[in-house]
Parts: sequence; C-alpha cells; structure tokens
Amino acid sequence: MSIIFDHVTHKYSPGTTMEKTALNDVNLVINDGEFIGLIGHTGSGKSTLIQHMNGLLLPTSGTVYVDGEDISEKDYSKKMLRSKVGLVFQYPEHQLFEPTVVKDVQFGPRNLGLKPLEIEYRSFEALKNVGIGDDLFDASPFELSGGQKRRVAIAGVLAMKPKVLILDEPTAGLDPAGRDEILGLISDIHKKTGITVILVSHSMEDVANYVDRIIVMNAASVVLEGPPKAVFTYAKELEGIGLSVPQVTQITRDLANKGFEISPDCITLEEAGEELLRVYRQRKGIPG
Amino acid sequence: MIRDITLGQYYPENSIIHRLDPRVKIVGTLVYLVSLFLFKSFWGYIPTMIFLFSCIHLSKVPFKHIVKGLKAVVMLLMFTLICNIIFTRGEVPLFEWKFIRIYPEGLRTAGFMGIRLTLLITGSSLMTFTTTPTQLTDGLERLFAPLKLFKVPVHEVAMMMSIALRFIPVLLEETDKIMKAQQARGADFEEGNIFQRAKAMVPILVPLFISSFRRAGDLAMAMEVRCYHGGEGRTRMKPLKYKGRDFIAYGVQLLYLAALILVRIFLG
Ligand SMILES: Nc1ncnc2c1ncn2[C@@H]1O[C@H](COP(=O)(O)OP(=O)(O)O)[C@@H](O)[C@H]1O
Ligand SMILES: [Mg+2]
Repeated sequence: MSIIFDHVTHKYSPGTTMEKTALNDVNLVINDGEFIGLIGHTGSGKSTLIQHMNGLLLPTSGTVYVDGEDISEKDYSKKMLRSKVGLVFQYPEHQLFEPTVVKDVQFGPRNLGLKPLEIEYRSFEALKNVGIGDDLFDASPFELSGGQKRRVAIAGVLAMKPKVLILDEPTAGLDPAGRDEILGLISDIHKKTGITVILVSHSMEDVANYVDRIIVMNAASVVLEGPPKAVFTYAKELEGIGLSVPQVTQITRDLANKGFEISPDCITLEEAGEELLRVYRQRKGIPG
Repeated sequence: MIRDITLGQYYPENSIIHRLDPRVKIVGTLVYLVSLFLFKSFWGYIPTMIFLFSCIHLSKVPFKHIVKGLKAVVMLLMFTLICNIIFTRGEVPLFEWKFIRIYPEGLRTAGFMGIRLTLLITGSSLMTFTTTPTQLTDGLERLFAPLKLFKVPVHEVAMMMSIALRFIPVLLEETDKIMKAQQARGADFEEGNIFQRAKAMVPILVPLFISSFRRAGDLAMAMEVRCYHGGEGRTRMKPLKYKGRDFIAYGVQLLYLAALILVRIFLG
C-alpha cells in the first residue's frame, strides 16, 4: 500500500473571494509499513493533506495514487479505498452515535457488508487492541472519558482492518498521561500489525519518540522530511515556522554548544539521560 | 460542499450601505418589498430596478456574488414560473399539447412573477449581505421595542435570533466534519432508495444534536456566569444612533415610494 502525491494542489472554494490554497504543489511518497509523523502549525494544511489519502477530498490539480491507482478516476471505488485507508478524525464526538460502544465500533465493518459473526469478532478484537475492557462494551459512548472516547473512535476504524491508519491530532485536548497512553497504544498497534501509520500532530514532542520519518508542513507546502534526527538539525528553521525540537534535544544541543562532549541530537529522555551520565562520569573520572 | 452556500451571508465591505443604521435598511427592505406589489404594468419595473441596482452599486457587493446567491433559489423560481405558465387560463391558447394549454396571459403572469420574485429575493439578500447578524437583530429589537408594552418578549426573541444566526455557520461546518468522519468509516449518503438514505442520516444527526445541546449548555453557562438575566436594565456597548446619512436614506426611500405611486397613477 504505497501512497504517492504527485504535484498535488488543493483549493477550497475555488473561483470565489473565499478561495484558499490549502495544499500547494505537494509531492510525497508513503511506503508500506512506515510510521510517519506529520507535523505542522495549525492551519498549515495537515488535515487537508490526509483527507486526500482516503478520497474525502480530491486534488484541484495533480494526482494522488494509492497502490498505483489514480483515486480521481471516475470508476475508482471510494468505498474500497476507505476500507484500505482508515482515517480517525480529531474529535471522537464527531463520529460516536450508537447507543453502545460495541455497536459504534461495528458501524464501519457493517458498512463494508461483512457477515454478522465477522463484524462481531472484529469489533471485539479492535476494542481489545485499544485497551477497552469488556465492562465498557455496553456502555454509552457518551459517558466515556475523553481518552476512552478517543480509543473507541480508533477501534471503530481499526475494525475495518485498514492497511493504512491515519490519526488526525489524536492527542489534542488530553492530559500528559492520557497523551502518552494514546501514543504508546498507536506505537503498539504499528508494531503488532505492521500497518502503515501516519500520526498528525502540531507538537514534535509527540512524535519524536515513535516515528521513523517526520514530514513537516508549513503554509500549504511540505518543507522538510526525513528521520527525526535529521529533521531536528534544522532547529532554527523549525522555530521560524512555529515548531520546536523536543525539549531534551534542545538541552543536549545547548550543552554541546557550551563545550560539553555530549551528542547533540538525543531524542528520548532515556537517550539523553545515558548521555548525561556518561559525560558526568567522564568529567569526574568515574569509570563507566 | 455544504459550506459554500452564500444565500444571504454577510459580505464584508466598507460602503455607505454597510454603514447605514440597520433600522434604515430593515425599513428600506420592507418598503421595497411592498413597492414591488404596488404596480400592475411593466412600467413599474423601471423605478424598482433603478433603485435596486443603485443600491447594489453603492454597496460594492460584486454583482457576481449576488447572482451566485440566487442560484440556490433557482429551483423555487422555475417551479413558480412553470406553475404560472401551465395553470393560468385565458381566452385563446398559444399552444396546445395533450392536456397542456399555454395562454398569453400565463406567459405574462409568469414573466411578472419571475421578475418580481427575483427582485424580491435580491432586495432582501442585499440587506443581509450588508448587515451583520448582530446589527440585524439589534435593529429588529429597537424597531419592535414598542411591542414590549403589550408584553411581547422582544429582547428575548432578538437574543434567540442572534444566537441562532451566529450558530448557523458553526453548525454547517460541524455537519461537514461529521459527514466526513462517517464517510471515513464507509458510510454512504448518496446511494440507496429514500428509506436507506433517511437511515443514513442518523449517524450525522445524532452527533450533530448532541454537540448542539452541548454547545447550548456551554453558552448558557457562559452567559450566566457573566450575569446575563434578560433585557431589563441591560445597556449596550454600541447603542444604535441615527446619523445624518440615515435621515438622507429615509428621505430617498420616501422619494422612491412617491415615484412609484406616480407611476401607478399615471401608467397603471
Ligand atoms: N472546509 C474548508 N473550507 C475552507 N477552508 C478550509 C476548510 N478546511 C480548512 N480550510 C483552510 O485551509 C487551511 C488548512 O487547514 P487544515 O488542513 O485544517 O490545517 P491543519 O490541519 O494543519 O490545522 C486553513 O487555512 C483552513 O482555514
Ligand atoms: Mg487539522
């Protein structure tokens, strides 16, 4: 399941005074099984970009290829595309509607026209995968906490067994603990199933620990892409577009600039801790 | 897309019409609507059109934008025209085919109705193009203030109206997002017979209702913590005050009415 963007431009309300270019000549390749972080300031076009991947929006000009097929073709099946590319939107409140959690998760598979037994099996499996216990299966989705709602929404898409899972700002509005839980969960799903995962966020802290590749958007264009360490070497440029490198990276970089012999591009807390210990021991002459 | 509906949405500009007191524009629109029904001959269209086009010109709202707004009601217009053409009976039919007979009288009435409706819709949408919903409700509240003597809750109704107007774009945007979220899960709103389609609306309506109730609750709470308790003793940040230009505008309206009455008397 590769997704290719070839000179894709998207305009909202084209030809009116409200015309707005939300994507400007975007070129991208997303490979099978990748874990990608899509980062950008609010309004940079992230949500617009991902809606092209499952055909909710079509390019104003340019082409999007999914599995080598042009999704703008007249006889291309949107339904099939949406079963292959699962998209979880930012607000779970926008999709939960059934009286019980299980029924809501079954909405997707039901739309695919699967057999009742298969539907049931998939919904239980998906809920288990997102860590919702069976005591909540028959609860109303509206009674759940914010984090739980988000999990149910993710399960609702997972139950369709997509080959690509896209999550639009899944951590927005969660407390730090809830954020880490959701991110850990997404990372687990990626490891366990091996599907392509695209994680949208406006915070580097969110994605740095987990993803293989970061795509940075600014003002309707893709401005940077590469593995986290490579992207973080552009700290100045990132700051210029309202993004920042993770705090730990910033600290190790500042230390390196002050003359400490520390590697300047630590991404995770653990990595930075080890580096600090190493430098400390070296200075004190303590053998490691 | 559902968001692209322009019918009557405020068009920001800085024109004399935009700056007029909303009361002048409301009264002016009423005067205009009434004036459209004052005459019986085609002559009457000359002053009504001159008046409307001058107002459009002064308002700086592009003509294209106004025409685009009309597109939304084209169906309604066509329906009225066709009914008029088919169902008006006269003496000598122009054209006969099976049970359909078309008379010259029918064409005439249809022509009249068509122009009248177009002018009527354009005239009233010009008011909403040039007046923000807040101004509009402020104006209505002031115009209807005398009704308070008869215990009509004018302030409350005006407040309800401004809240409703304020939330239309928000709810449209929300509907759009909900539809997308459900489509992402394979929902299909275009296919199937009428029952299947009606059923397909449930996944949109439930989240929409729930979020509307939530928003209403939040708003009520926010109003209450700021001590809102209805219209009594409430003052305004920007009280409506007539300026010189507003009196001139009233004068122009009077002249326009007089001109139309003259047309009616002398040309029928
Ligand atoms: N449905 C829409 N109609 C018009 N403009 C839109 C719509 N959705 C988004 N936009 C505009 O397109 C730009 C990109 O938006 P979006 O893709 O939502 O950015 P992000 O997800 O990065 O915050 C923004 O300026 C936004 O205002
Ligand atoms: Mg977004």
